[in-house]
Amino acid sequence: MIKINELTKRYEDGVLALDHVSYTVAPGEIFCLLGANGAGKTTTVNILLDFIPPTSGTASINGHDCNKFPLEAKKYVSYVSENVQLYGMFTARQNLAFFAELAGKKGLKKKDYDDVMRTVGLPEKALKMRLKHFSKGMRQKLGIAIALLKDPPAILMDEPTSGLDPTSAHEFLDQLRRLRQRDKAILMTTHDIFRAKIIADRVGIMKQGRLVAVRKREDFKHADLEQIYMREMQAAETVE
Amino acid sequence: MLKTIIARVSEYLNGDLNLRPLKAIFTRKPAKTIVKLRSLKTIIAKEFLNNILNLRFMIGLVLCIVVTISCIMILAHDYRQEMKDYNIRIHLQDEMLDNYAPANEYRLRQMLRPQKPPERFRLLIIGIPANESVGSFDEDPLPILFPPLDFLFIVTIIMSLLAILFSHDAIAGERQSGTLRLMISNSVSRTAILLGKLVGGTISLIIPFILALLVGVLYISINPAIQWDSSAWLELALLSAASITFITLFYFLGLMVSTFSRYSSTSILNCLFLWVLLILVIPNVCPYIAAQLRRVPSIEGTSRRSKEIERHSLDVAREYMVEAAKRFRLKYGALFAEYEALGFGGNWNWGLADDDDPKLQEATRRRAEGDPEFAAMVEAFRVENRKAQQELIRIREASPVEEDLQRKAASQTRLAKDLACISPFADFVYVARDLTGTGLRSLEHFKQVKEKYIWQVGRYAEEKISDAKKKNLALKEESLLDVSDRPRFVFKEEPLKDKLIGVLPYWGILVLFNVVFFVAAFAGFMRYDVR
Amino acid sequence: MIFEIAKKEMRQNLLSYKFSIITILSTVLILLSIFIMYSDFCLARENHEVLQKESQKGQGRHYEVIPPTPLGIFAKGLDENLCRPWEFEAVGVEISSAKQKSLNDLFKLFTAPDLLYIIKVILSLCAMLFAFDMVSGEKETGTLRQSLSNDLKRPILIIGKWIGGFTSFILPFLVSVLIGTILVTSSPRVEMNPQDWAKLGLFILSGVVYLAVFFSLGLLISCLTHRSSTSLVISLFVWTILVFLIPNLGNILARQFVSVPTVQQLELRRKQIMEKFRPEINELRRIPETRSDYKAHEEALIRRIFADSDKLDENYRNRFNSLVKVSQNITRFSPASAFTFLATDIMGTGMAEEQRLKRMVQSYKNLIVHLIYDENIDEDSIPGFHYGRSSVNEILSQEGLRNSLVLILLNVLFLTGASVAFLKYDVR
Repeated sequence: MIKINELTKRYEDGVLALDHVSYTVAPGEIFCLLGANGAGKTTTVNILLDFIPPTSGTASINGHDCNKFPLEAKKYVSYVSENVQLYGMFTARQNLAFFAELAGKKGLKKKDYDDVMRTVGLPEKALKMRLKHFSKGMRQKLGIAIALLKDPPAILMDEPTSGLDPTSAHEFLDQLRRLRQRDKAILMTTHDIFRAKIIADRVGIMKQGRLVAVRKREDFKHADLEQIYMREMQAAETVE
Repeated sequence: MLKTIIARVSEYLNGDLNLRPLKAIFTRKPAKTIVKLRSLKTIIAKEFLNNILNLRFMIGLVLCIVVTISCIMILAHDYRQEMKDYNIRIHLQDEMLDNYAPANEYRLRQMLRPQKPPERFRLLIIGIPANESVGSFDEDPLPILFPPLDFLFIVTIIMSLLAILFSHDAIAGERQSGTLRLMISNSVSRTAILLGKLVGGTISLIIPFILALLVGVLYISINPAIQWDSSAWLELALLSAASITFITLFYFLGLMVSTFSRYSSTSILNCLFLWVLLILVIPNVCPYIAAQLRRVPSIEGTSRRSKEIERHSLDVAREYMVEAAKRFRLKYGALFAEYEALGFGGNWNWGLADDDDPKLQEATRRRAEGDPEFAAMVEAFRVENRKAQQELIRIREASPVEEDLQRKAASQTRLAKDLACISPFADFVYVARDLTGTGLRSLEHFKQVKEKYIWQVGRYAEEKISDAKKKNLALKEESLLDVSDRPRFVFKEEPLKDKLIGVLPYWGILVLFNVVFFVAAFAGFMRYDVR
Repeated sequence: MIFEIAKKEMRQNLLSYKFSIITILSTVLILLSIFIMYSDFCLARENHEVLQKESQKGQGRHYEVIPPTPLGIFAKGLDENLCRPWEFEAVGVEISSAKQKSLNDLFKLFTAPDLLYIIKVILSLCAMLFAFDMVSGEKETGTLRQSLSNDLKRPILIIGKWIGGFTSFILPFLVSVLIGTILVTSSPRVEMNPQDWAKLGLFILSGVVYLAVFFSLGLLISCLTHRSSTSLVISLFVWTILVFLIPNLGNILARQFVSVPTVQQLELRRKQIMEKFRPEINELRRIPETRSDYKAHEEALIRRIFADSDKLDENYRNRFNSLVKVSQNITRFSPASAFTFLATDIMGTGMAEEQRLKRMVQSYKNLIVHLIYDENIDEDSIPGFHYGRSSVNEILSQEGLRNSLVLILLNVLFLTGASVAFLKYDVR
C-alpha cells in the first residue's frame, strides 16, 4: 500500500508544491489524483520514487519510507510514466528483459513474455518490433507490461491516458481493473475526469499543493464528477 | 529581382519550370513583394535572436576573444624577441665583418650570408621556419610535437566548429521541436525561410569573429613596438574577407547536412565526420600520397650519381690527355720531355684540378719566348687540353642530375598542393599564408631575393679581393679587409597585387564550395519533409 | 547488476548510428594512417641505407647516422630529426647532407598523420561524442527515470554505463590497430625486436588510458547538464581547449619564461669562435707536420677551440632543456600534452630521446678527443658511434611515469566527478 502522511514540499525558489497532504491507497484500490497543472500531482510521484526529497512529512510504500530507505521502497512499486519512450533501437522483448532484470526478476522465459504481451493486448509478434515503430497506444501498453512483469504490490501511474485514442484508453481501463483484482494499490494522476469517474475507487482533488477534496466512488457515481470538481476548485478559492 | 530569380530556381528544382514566373517578372505586384520582404526580415530577426540567446553563442564569443587576446599578446612578445634576436644577429655579423673579414673569397662570402627578418604578420600567423641551410643539429624540435597557435587556428578550428554548431540543427532541430511546421503553415515561402536562416545565422556567427578581430586590431594599433603601414592593414582586411569566406563555407555545410537529416543528433554527427575529414585528415594525408605517386630520387642517390658523373668525366678527360701526351712524346721527343719537366707549364693536372704552380708557369713562358718550335708545341698541347675540358663539360651537361631532382621535387610539391585543394582548410591556409607573406610563396620569394644578393655579394667579394691584391701583391689569405662599403641585405616583400593574383584561384575554390553547399542546402530544403 | 547495465549499454551503442559512423571513421583513419606512415618509414629506411653505404665507403667526409625506428610508423615524433646524418665540425656539430623528405615543402604546412595524431586529436573527439549524451540523452527520453524507479543504486548505474560504453568504443579501435600492426610488421622491411614490441604495447595501453580520460570527461559533462544539446556544446568547447589550446599556448607561454636564443644566433656565435681562432689556425698551418712539437701545438689549439665551443653548446643546451621542462610542467595538466610526451618518449621519438642522443654525441666527442690525445690512438682505429634507443626501463624511470600518472589521475578524477554529479542528478 501507498501511504502519504503530512507530505510537504517547498522548492528552493519558494514555491509550495505540496502542503501537508495525507492519504492512503489500500491494496486493491485505484486512487485517482486530479488537479490542474502545477497542483502537485507529479511532485507526489517524484517524492514516492525518491527523485526529490520532501521538505517534511513522509511517503511510504508497503511500510518503507521512500526518502529514508528508497531502494527498499522501490522494490515494491512499479512506475508507468506519461509518454513512455523506452529504448527506441531495442525490440519490445529486449526492453522488457532489461527492465525485468533491473526489477530483480531473473530467469524469465518466452512464455512469460508472451503471456504479458497477451495480457496488455499487444500481438506477440510485436515482441520482435523495435520500439521506434510503436504507436503511442502500443507504447503505453508496453509500459504497463513492464509494470506487470515486475508484479509489485503498488503501481504509480503518471497521466497514463494522455493522448490515447478512445479504444486504447478503454483497453487501458480494463488493464486497471485486472490489476485491481490482483490486489494492487494503484495511484494514478490524471486530467481525465471522465475516465477517472469510470475507474476510480476514490478521487483526490488537488489545488495548489493542497488536497482539497477526497470523494469515494459512492459519492460521485450518479453525480457529475466534473461539476463536483469545478465546485471544489471554486470553493477552495473562496476559502482563501 | 533577385527574389524572382530565386523563385524561378526553386521552381525548377521542384521539377516544375513553367512560364508563370517569367510573366511575374513583368507584372510584379509590389504589395506581395513588401509582404515577402517583411516576413523575410522577421525570419532573419528571429534566427539572429535565437542564435544570440543560445549557450553556443556565448561560448563561441568567450572562446574567440580569450584565445585572440592570449594569442596576440604572446605572439607580439614572441615577435619582439625575434626582432631582438634578428638585431643581435645583424650586430654579430657586422662585428665579425668589421674585425675579421678575410681576404679569402670563399670565407668572405660565407660571412656575408643574408639574415631573414621576422615577418610582420608574425603577430597573427606564425610563419614556416625558413629551411635556409639544411636544418641544424641544434634546432628547436618542440614545434614539431606541438604546432603553435595563431590566428589561422582561431579561424580554421574554432570558427569552423562554431559554424557547424550554429547550423547543424537549423533545419533538423526545428523539425524536431515542431516550429518548422508552424512556420511553414503560414504564407511564407521555403526560400524565404532558408534565406532568413542564412542571413540571420551568418550575421550572428560572424559577430564573435569580428569582435575578436577588432580586439586584435586595437592591440596592434596601440602597441608602439609594432609599426604597420597601409599595405599591412590592407592585407589584414583581405585576410579577414578570406576568413569570412571560410567560415560561411562551414555554415553552409552544416545547413546542407541539416537538410539531409531528420534528427539533429545525426546531423551533428555527420557534420563532425565531414569536418574531421576536411580539416584534420585530407590536408595531412595529401603530401604523403603525393610522395608515393610522384617519387623523387633520394638526394643521396642523386649526389652519388652526380659525383660519379663528375669522376667519370674527369677520368675521360684525363685519359684523353694521357693519350695526347703519348702522341706528343712520340712526335716531339726531347722537347716534350722538357715541357713535361716544367710540369706541362705549371699545370700538373692539365687544368683539371686546382693546383697551378705560378713559378713553373713563368718558367714555361720564358722558355717559349725564345723558341718558336717550343711555343708551337705548347700551343698545340693547350688545344688538346681545351678539347679535353670541353669533353668533360659535355659529359657533365648531358645528364643534369641536380636539375632533374629539383624538377621532380617541385612536381611532387605541386601535386600535393593540388590534391589538398579538396580540403577548404588547405585552400584557406594557402590564401592566408601567401597573402600575409608567411607561407611557401614568401619563402620562394626570399630565396630569389637571397640568391640575387648572394650573386651581388660574390661579385663584390671578387672585386674587393682583386683590388686588394693589386694594391698589395703580397696579400695573404689571413689579411683583414675593410668591407664597410659592402652591399646591405634589404628584404622587401612582394607587392600585394602579385600576391593577390597568386591567391585568387584558391579563394575561388572556397567561394565555389560556398556556392555548392548553399545550392545543395537549397535543393535539400525544398524537398524536406517537415512533419 | 553492473553487468546487465553494461550489456544493455553495449547493445544500445551497437545499434546506434553514432557507433557505425564513428567506427567507420576510426577504422579507416587508423588503417590509412598506419599504411601512410609505413611507406614513409620505407622511404626513410632507403635513405638511411644509402647514407650508411656512403659513409662506409670512406670517400670524402665521414658522418654518423642512426637508423629510423619502426615505431616511428605509429608515433613519428622527432624521428626525422633524430635520423639525420651528422658530423663533427671544429666548432659544434653539423648536419652533413640534406634531408630527403623536406623536398616536399608541403610537409611544413601540415602535421604528420601518424597514429599518435589520430588518437590524440580525432579519437579523443570520438570518445567525447560517444559519452556526451549517455546521461542527459537518457534523461530526455525518459528511460533514466524508468531505470531509477527500480531498486538500483546510482553508482552502479553510472559505472555500468561507463563499462558498457567504453568497451563498445574501444573494441573497434583495438581491432583496427591490431590488424594494421599485423599487416605492417609482417613486412620484411619492418624489424621489431622484443623491446620494440614492449614499447608498442605500452604505447597502445597509454592510448587506451588517454581515450578513457576523454570518455570519462564526456560522461562527467553529461552528468552536469540536462539537455544533450548543451552537453554537446560544452563537450566540443572542452575538447578544443584541452587538445589544441592548452598544449600549444602553454608551449608559447613557456618561451616567455625561459628565453632561448635561436639556432641562427647559435650558428653565428659559432662562426665568431672560428674567426677568433683563425689567426692561430693559420699559424699552425705554417708549421710542417713533421716537427716534433706539431702535435702538441695542435692538441693545445684543438682543446681550446673545443672548450669554447663546448661551453657555448652546453649553455644553449641547458637553456633548451630547461625550456622543455618548463613547457612540460605548464602543459602537463592537459591530457593531450601528457599523452604526446608520454607516447613519444615510449616510442623513442620524443624529447627525451633527442636529449639523450645529444648527450651521447657529446660524450662520443669527448671520447674521441681522449683517445687521440691522451691515449695516442690512431684516427683510423677509433670505434664508431653506436647508438641504441632508450630501453623500456629507462623510459619508465624518467618522465614517463609522471606523465602516465597524470593520465590515470585525470581518469579517476573525472570518473569520480561523474559518479558524484550523478548522485545528485535531477532525473525528472
